Amino acid sequence: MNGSHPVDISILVQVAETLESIVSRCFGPHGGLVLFTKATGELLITRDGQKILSSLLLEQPIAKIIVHSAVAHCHVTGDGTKSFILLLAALLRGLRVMVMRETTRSTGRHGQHGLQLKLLSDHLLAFQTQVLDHIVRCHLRQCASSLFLSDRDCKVTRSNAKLLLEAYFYGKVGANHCQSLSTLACDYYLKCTGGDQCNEVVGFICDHFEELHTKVVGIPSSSSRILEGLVLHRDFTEYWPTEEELKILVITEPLQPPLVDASATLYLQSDQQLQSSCAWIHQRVQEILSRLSVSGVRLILSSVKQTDLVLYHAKLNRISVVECMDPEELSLFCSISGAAPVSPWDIFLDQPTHLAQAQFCKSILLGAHRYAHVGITSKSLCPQYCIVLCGPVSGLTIQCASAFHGAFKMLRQTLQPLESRYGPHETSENIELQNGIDCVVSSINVCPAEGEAYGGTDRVEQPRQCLARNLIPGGMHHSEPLHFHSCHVKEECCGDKLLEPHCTCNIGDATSIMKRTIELNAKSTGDNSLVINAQIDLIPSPTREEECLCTLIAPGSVFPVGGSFELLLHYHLLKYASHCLDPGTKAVCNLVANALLSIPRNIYTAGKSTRHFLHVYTKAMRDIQSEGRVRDGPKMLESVSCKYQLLISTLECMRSLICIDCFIVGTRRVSPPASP
Amino acid sequence: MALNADDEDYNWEPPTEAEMKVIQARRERQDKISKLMGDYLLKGYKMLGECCDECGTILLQDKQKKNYCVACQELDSDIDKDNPALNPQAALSQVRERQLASSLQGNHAEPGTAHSDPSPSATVQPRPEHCEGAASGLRTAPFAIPNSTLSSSVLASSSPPLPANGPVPVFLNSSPPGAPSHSALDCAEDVLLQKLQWATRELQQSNSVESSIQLCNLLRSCAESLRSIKELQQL
Repeated sequence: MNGSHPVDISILVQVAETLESIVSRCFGPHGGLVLFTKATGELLITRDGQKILSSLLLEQPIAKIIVHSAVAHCHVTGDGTKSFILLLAALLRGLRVMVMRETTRSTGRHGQHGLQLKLLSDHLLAFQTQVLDHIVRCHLRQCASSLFLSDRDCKVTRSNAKLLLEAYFYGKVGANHCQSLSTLACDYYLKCTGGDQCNEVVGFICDHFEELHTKVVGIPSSSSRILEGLVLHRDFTEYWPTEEELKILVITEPLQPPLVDASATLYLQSDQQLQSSCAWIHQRVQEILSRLSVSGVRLILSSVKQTDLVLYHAKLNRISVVECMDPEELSLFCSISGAAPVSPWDIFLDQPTHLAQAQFCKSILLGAHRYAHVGITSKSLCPQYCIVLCGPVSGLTIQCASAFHGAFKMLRQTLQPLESRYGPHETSENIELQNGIDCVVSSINVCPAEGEAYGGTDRVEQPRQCLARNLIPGGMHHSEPLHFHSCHVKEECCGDKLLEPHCTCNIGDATSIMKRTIELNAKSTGDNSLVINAQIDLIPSPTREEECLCTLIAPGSVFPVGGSFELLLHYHLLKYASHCLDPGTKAVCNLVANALLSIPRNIYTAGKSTRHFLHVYTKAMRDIQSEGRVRDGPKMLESVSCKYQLLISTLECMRSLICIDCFIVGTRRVSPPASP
Repeated sequence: MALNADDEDYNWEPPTEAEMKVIQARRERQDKISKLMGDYLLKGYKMLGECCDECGTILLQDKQKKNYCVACQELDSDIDKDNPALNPQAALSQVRERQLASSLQGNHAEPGTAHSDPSPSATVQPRPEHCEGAASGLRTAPFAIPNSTLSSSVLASSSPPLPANGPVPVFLNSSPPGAPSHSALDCAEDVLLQKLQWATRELQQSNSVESSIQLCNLLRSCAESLRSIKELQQL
């Protein structure tokens, strides 16, 4: 149907709530499975959020945007589609309340939502850049524990890794397979990396997981195991078992030279000429294979089909052949072993180079299929093990395999440091102490000019260790006027000038800066001079400590599961909102703080009763107020950077949704983009 | 967002009980709609990009390409649940109430002779199919016979249509049936008796099993209709 359909906040909420009702049934450690009837009529029983959302038939563009964002988030972090939908639905609900309240209050007319929503998206961006990063850096970092043994020694302890993976699999595959899969994943990780923080290896596993694992159907899942070497998902055409060291040739063309090249034409004038050509070909093949045999090649991996003549001579020379290999698998093999595909002419003319070295080569029977199993000697930092995942039915095996893959994506995200995208990125080489410090004013309060100091002590943050050395003790007397570059002066309703945070100002004398909170008298354009309490963050120079300032979340940061990240963030956001002056930021902080509770609420709500959740909530708030962290939670761990990424992705999705005014439906089908 | 948020908040009062109930009901309705839509999506329905014209809910499309609005077609029948014209159970409950009322009246007025009258009507409860027939008779065209379980095509082709407003006015009107409806009932009774006779004749002459079965069904439904009309006449 043609036409433009206006998009209202109520439609967004409806779509989000529908998706939420589907997803909340299988969310959390106590969630169930969902039975889904596909368009083809087949049944799907799963609790994997990504699978459910991708299988729904959705023509509503808003729903497609939401599902696309959720799935894209899952590709990066390996998990979180359901949490994404829950958080988004809660945010949109809160947004609708805000917008409805605004329209009835201010104009009494409905349908003016568009303007409010656009204003809100600006506030959201400001919230993401200023408030969220600030809170995570100042409050949440202290409460996070680390996967590593200590700061210096970046070895992941087995117990910590197990706790992290157990929590992941508990939510992904349920309690049945959680233990076995988490043990297997932990073993695999430790075997491949040796416990060191090896982001490259984990990244390699994530990128090539399809080739590194084998799914076996029809065997109980307890038979899943780790194998040394690589399993090539093809059977031998010719097989000669060897236990000793051998060389492997990788080839992507037929070994037998063709009768004629593709571009040339062969003129034959008699039968004899044909016979002699064929005889020449036979001879060449014989020579090639004998040369290979002499060089110690015992296995040929070919991505194309070889002719019978080649196979016959390979048999004579006791060389095993694997044909018709997957190009991706072959390239993985080459990257692990350091080999490269060889052209037949190279073999003929010269000694073949770029051969792979292997320790063994044998045939392995997995389930109903026979595969080639090769033990590669790898020079590079690549994983030398592969996984065999078993399951009684194909659906379950596929689910376990994708959960396994997701676990490694989550590990990769955890072990990488997360950098603040919006923080101060100017890398001034030297902080020039002579001409004044370019500093970033991160928050400013305006007080009356009587010199009444601002009473809120929460604004004064503890200076970080790395900054202390740049602050020179001394008296704080500054009489020069401040030069504000690139800042905006915003009018508040009461007529005070409020300087927008994050403007850079040049403070004349560096020696006069004593503490982080300084009092500056600045002349405004009005008659009264204002006292401005400013909180100064120095722009870091690229030393190691200052890199920490840019790094929002350290690698290996983890939190206990069960919503402690959300509860902490909720508490600090509410606290920030109560002290915040800007009404827009205040509203957004409240919105996000309340929406964050939807995740722990869904975890702890059993049936209809929210009593358990309320109990947990009050206890957590009390603990945070007294000690600053949540105590007595479950022992299992979850990654901070994945959670933070989830929040950011949800906020960005919401921002893109609320800026849509209407969508236009066309008649021509647009082919969907290829899935990543 | 709102620059004068704080000023306006001073005028805000908490909602009253009634308003709370309305808010609660609205929220529950929204939750129900979301849950139903989620269920249908999991059954394989497609979520369309259009909204329903009446209620603004997003439309779903089933595998037969038929559009379906969850709110209009499932939820709003809650209001119709008490309308006896559309719901057989409501009609049944109304009839029972009336019978109870009349038996009490009869007991008060004539304790002796009235015993025999109310008791057959009290023991023989009108079955929901009759009420269902009454309801469907109201919904469909007036040519359909209200109390018959046969398809209307067999009867409509062979006989003039029965008046559809025979036993139906009893369920619609709250006041007891007056004189005009008595004549309507008598009319209905006569026609039914005629139909009964015709059907008996046809049954004697029929040769095929199928038509015999259908005629027996017709006889049975005519008899049941007659019985209900007799009961109505006694009310």
